[in-house]
Amino acid sequence: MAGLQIEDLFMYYADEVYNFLVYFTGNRIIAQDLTQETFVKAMQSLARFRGGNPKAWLLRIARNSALDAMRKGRRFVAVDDDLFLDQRDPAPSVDETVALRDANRRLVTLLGELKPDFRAVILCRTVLDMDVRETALTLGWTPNRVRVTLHRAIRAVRKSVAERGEFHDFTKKWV
Amino acid sequence: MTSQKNGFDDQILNGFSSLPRHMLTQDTKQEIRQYLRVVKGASPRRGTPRWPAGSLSGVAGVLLIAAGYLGYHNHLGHHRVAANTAAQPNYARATVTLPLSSVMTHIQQDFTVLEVDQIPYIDDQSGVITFDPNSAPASTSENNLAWNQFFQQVGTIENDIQLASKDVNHANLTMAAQQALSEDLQNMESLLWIATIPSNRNQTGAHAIAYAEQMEADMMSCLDPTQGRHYSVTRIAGFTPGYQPIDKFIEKNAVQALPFHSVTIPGPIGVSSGR
Repeated sequence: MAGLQIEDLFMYYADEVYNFLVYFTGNRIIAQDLTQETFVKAMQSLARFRGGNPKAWLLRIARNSALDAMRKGRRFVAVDDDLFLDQRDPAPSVDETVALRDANRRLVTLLGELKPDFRAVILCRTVLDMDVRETALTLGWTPNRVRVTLHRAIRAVRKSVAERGEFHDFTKKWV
Repeated sequence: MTSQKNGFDDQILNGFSSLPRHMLTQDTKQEIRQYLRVVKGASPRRGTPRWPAGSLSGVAGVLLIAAGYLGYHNHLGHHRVAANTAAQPNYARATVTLPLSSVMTHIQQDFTVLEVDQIPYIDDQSGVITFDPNSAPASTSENNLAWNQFFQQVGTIENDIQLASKDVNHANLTMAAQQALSEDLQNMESLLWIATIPSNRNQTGAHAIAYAEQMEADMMSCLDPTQGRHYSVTRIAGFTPGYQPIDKFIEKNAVQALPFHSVTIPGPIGVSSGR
């Protein structure tokens, strides 16, 4: 894509790539590494990028990088407390922080237990606030597959919540 | 989603939506930018390929090495190595010679070896090593296979990749490398340099690259530009936290099992006039 510079891509999309990877891997440090890896790969492939949605393209690279890492045996297990710190939020009270971290920890743990496809589609549609079309571009799926997979992912989450027997507690923050 | 069931689904989705929106720290952003610049081989001023000056400190890792093979003996009887960066037309050519006998592999415990996303080829006739940017492997296994073949080929040609002490540090590694380079200085034309990065999660690619860069600068400092020779280096470096224990690399045969992963960093280093 003429004129497209890796520096520009990094400036505009680094946070979103990182954000996706944080929740896809559940590990902040690994997400940082994969963010770097994503942009290195993007840089190497920039000449072959034929236009379109660069954000979706980058997120697809990010997702593939994370999946590659998983296949190589890297474990995305650490759910560190820092994962739940939103640097843009003003400091909440101690009680609020504890409650929020607990709720978020459950969410992220739950995410990590989902199949990668389920995890990816939920992240795209919620955390990244993408519409169906953009999610389809990112994941390389058809819009219909996005809808179906999201439906199944939600069903998996509901089942998991029910099995944990923590329905009320788990959903308290959402009500 | 208006039904009771879907109302709960909405809660689920809203729950995930409420997760914090993380942002990279400025330090991390700076590190990644630096790494991208190094990988790109370009200065912050666009369109001016060169290596960034200076280096960072406080890095824990490294690596080094390896070499190719030119396929014939020079007049002093040394095998020579040629690294051809023709596949990277935006970068300067590398023309240095490294006798294969000088190729050493210094690896430190807990360091990992990178992978390379471009496949290296050694021409059977000329011995020239090339990296085709369009040769990105279709899969990780294909990538690994290519690199395994590469090292097998290099190893088979000369069977002379020396494995140095495992417990090296920067100082004695540099010293050993400089000594090796100095001894064979007159016969050097090209050097293929492979950097591996530590698995320490606190280190990022930028750290590792900077460390490798510093080592490389140390090595190149022993080359005398006043002799009119043209030295430059084709580097391969990258980082990857937590993959393979380096022990596997130490065992020569285990090279075949190593995944190599990383990025190609071509470009002029030090005294280069190969542009």
